[in-house]
Amino acid sequence: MCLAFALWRHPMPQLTLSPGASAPAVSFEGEQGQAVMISELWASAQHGIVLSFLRHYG
Amino acid sequence: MRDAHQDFAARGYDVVAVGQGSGSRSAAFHRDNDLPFVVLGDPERAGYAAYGLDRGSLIDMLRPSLVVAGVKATLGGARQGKTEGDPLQMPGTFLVDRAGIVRYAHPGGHAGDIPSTRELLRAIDEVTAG
Repeated sequence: MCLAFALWRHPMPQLTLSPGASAPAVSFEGEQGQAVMISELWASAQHGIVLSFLRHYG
Repeated sequence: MRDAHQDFAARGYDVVAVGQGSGSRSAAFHRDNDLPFVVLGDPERAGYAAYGLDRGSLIDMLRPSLVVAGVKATLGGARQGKTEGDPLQMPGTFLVDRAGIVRYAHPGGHAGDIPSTRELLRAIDEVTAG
């Protein structure tokens, strides 16, 4: 019972990035293992990017 | 996301997807599915953490809303691929403008909590309208 309650009360994702905040300029991994700076992608877009973090492929 | 790519592009927004696998795994996913947008890897999930995307709990995986989302996705033709990385990792979607400012944030509340294309396009239109 306590375990179930603890699991249920597990903290939900917190909205740490509200609109108007600066997006973290992190890097991701490209096909060859090279670092790809996300800031370069949003800077090169016409207006911006839709950044989608996937839970799984497919 | 694939089908809506043109709608995003028409509004000046590029789509960037990030998976929990390596860069090569993400590139293979991109190739195998002939996706019209870039797919990058984040095997350490540092980006997920930086954008405030938490891990869910086992109970979160059993929420009715997740089951409903799964049924809807399946009926819509989606098929879930093999989960790689942390199966409890929550998804998330953000609009970021050219200056690096977050214009819209949707951290997933459960594994299937992904904003619809319609919602994203509406958010872009609202940003554009100022």
